[in-house]
Amino acid sequence: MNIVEVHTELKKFFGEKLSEVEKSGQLEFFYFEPEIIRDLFLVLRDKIGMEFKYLSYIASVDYKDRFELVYCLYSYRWSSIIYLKTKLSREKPKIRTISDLFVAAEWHEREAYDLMGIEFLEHPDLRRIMMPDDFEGHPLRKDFVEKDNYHQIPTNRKGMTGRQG
Amino acid sequence: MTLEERLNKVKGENEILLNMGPQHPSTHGVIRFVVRADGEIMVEALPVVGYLHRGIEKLAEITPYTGFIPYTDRVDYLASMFANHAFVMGVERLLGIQVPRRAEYLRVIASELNRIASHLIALGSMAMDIGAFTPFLHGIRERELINDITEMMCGARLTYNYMRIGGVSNDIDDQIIKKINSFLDRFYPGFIDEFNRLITYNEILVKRCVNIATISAEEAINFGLTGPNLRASGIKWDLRKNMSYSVYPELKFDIPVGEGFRGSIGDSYDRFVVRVKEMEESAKILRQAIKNLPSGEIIAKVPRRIKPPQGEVYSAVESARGELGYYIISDGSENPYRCKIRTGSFSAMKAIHIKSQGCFIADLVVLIASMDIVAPEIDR
Amino acid sequence: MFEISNKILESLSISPHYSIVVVILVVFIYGLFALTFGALFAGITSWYERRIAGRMQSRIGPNRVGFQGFWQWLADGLKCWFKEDIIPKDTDSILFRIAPYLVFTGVLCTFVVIPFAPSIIGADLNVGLVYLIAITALVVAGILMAGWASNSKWTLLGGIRSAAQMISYEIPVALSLIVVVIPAGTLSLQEIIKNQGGAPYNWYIFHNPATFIAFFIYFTAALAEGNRTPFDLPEAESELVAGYNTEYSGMRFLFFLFSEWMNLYVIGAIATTVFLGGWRIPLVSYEVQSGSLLLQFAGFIIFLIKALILVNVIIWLRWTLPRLRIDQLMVMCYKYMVPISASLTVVSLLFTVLYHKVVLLQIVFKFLLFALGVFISIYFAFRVYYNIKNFPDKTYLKWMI
Repeated sequence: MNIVEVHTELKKFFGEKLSEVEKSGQLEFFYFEPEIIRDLFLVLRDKIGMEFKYLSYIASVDYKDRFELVYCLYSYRWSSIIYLKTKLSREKPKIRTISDLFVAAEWHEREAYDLMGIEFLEHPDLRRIMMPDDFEGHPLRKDFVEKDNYHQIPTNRKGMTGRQG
Repeated sequence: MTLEERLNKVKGENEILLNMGPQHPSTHGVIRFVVRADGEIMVEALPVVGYLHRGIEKLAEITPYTGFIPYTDRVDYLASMFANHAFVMGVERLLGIQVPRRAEYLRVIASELNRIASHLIALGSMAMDIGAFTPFLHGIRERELINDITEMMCGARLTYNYMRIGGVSNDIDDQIIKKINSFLDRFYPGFIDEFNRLITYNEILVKRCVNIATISAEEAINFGLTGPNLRASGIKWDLRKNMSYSVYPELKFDIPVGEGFRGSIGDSYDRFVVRVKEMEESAKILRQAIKNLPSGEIIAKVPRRIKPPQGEVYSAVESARGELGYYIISDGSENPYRCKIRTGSFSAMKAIHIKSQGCFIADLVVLIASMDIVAPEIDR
Repeated sequence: MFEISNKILESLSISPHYSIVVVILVVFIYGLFALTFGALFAGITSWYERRIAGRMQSRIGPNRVGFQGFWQWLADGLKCWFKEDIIPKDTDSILFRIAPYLVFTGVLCTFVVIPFAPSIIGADLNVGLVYLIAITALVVAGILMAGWASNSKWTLLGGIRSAAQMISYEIPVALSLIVVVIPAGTLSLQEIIKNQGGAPYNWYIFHNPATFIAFFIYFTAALAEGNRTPFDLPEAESELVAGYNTEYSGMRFLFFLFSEWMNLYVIGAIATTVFLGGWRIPLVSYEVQSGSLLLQFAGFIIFLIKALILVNVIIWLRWTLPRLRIDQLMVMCYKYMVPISASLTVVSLLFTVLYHKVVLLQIVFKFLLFALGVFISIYFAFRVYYNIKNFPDKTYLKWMI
């Protein structure tokens, strides 16, 4: 069950909401519209013949004009791996959580929220995971600028006031 | 929402809030659990991570590909060969480099030695958390010998930086092969047999681990568990076999799975025994790899400035803690555009949160240890 | 002690007017002796245990201070003595200060009735065993106090665990000692030793099957009562950081460890007294032994050797076994040890009656059980030999053989 077969199968359900299969480097993937995410993953997980039950990771990528989320799914039954992508707006990135389908997604989504600033709707426990609760900004964004001080702790040479840097 | 708000939201009566960690003897590394307990029984153990967050993914974006290899060592300091391996494999795939066979064999040898070392620590520290101190030091003693070998191979004992894009940094000679052979002779079956008699078959350890935090196969997949934790739940899935990479197809080995050795399938004891059996398999792989070791180059012809063409890749290896993969996006420059690291411990932490509900506090220790989590792998 | 002070009074022909002074003096000297003995034993055992642990774990252990690191215990003691005595702000400071001394006193008070030789004993109380069981309750109070007064959740959990565990395990300890009290017919420790023979097959452990089992139950339960591995839950470092003594530092902390190591001797000494013939020398009758000063000293040495062998076993168990969980511990106590030791008292009673009727039976059982004991020892030695033989690397064994 490779990505092309999965794609043709899914096309029957979602039609225009899915893009064609693209290839970039070693990775074959297709895009889906953010609003169908729950249905899509439900089909992928539970439809007999697919059974992509294991979510390996969710990667968030900042493309300066948009965010992309990369979902990597495995099917142990077919020994196959597929990648799905979705585009989110740069200003207000929002998408529905899939942590009710994949428990593994919960922490990956928290990580994306913390480091990339993508909001996951209906997430049970959307908190910062790596950074402290009072941290401002999202470090993995390309336009992130680290503040000179964090709680009076200098983070760079410029922030070291009164001392030789 | 902050941690305090999260805790206040669910706090019930008659509960005490125990703060376990970040400095606690049994939270391996700096992991913190906020335990809500009713007497000795936990309502939940909420993991709080991030104390070891060094922003390796951000560092990758400002570091050239070759310069990033030492950083990958720090992803998992107990099994850094795998982190090396997955990264260089990804870059090689992007570049389309064919790695020489000798280099692939050396990678396998180094990885399997590292797997044994990592499992020794995992098993030893689990025994230590249960209260037996001696198996830990016996494990450390054997690990020292592996460290000696890796020191001869690449000059480092912990953060190896052994793999290069296109091959490995140093060749091995007869002296090292002799040393590996003598290590294997004492390790399997000698040491493993003794270790089993000392701790694996110890009735108290069995009583402490059996039927604790049983994770069924369905749950294990849904939690995203990988590696020994997944296999302990009875699923025969190993990236070395199922999505084979390097020269693993040429080597014969079994995939040990949890069979409910003393209790139900997928309990803490299964995870313990699966690791012991994996060490045996690693020893078998090592013997074959050394026997078949071909001669030839150890590094392929690689351009001086590594600039992979635009594209994406995901390369994963079967690390000691499960699937360790790098999702690398190249934009054609010297640095990766984005590098996401997928590690085994990160998923296991969520499983600990769910499985801790309703256990004894003493069982939490067993659960953490049996999942074999390492702090840097979670936080990266 | 009173015998000795009476003898001194007679020999010195001091007027009875001053006798109270002599009595106090003798008691004081004996107290000093017991304290010194306990302290020395605890100190040296701490060094010894660490050396043994080192050997078992293929490392060296303390070997810097003096010959083979022998003075390590003194160095550690001095270090703790000079350390700052930190009392955390929110503690109940009075209870916090008292607690270690209570624990220490509880263990030290057992030395009153523990015999060393036919005439070296603090007080040969006719309710010696009962006193022994009663006085150890002080330890529970001390530990609970320490756990509570520290005002920390970890110490509180440790203290409560400890209290539950020690109080529970006092029952099997007491019951298994009563198994021997029935044939002995006395609660006085000296009398119990006197009633045993010198030769091993005359010891109470081989008296009847009930006492044979009772010895092992006593030993296990005493380990649990003394918070030693595999029952060291109160100070389970992987779960509770350090249990009830987390907040302690300096000398106060040392007093906890002191009493723990002294308790090792107490466990060994009671087992030796009640089950293993005490200070009796084989083939020497009680009258001869108590008459001669040299033989009394030999008895002291023999008693010490027996106790030390048991202490060795305890240390060795500690560095081999993992620890139980709290519920398993309680199940073991109330579901197995208490019923078994209670029924053993009945069995022992039956055998005692039977032996009065048929004397031959006593001799048969004595030698059968002795043979069983010898067989267990030989089998054990064989297992040790097997494990040493099968270990691949002999370089680590050069210290052990």
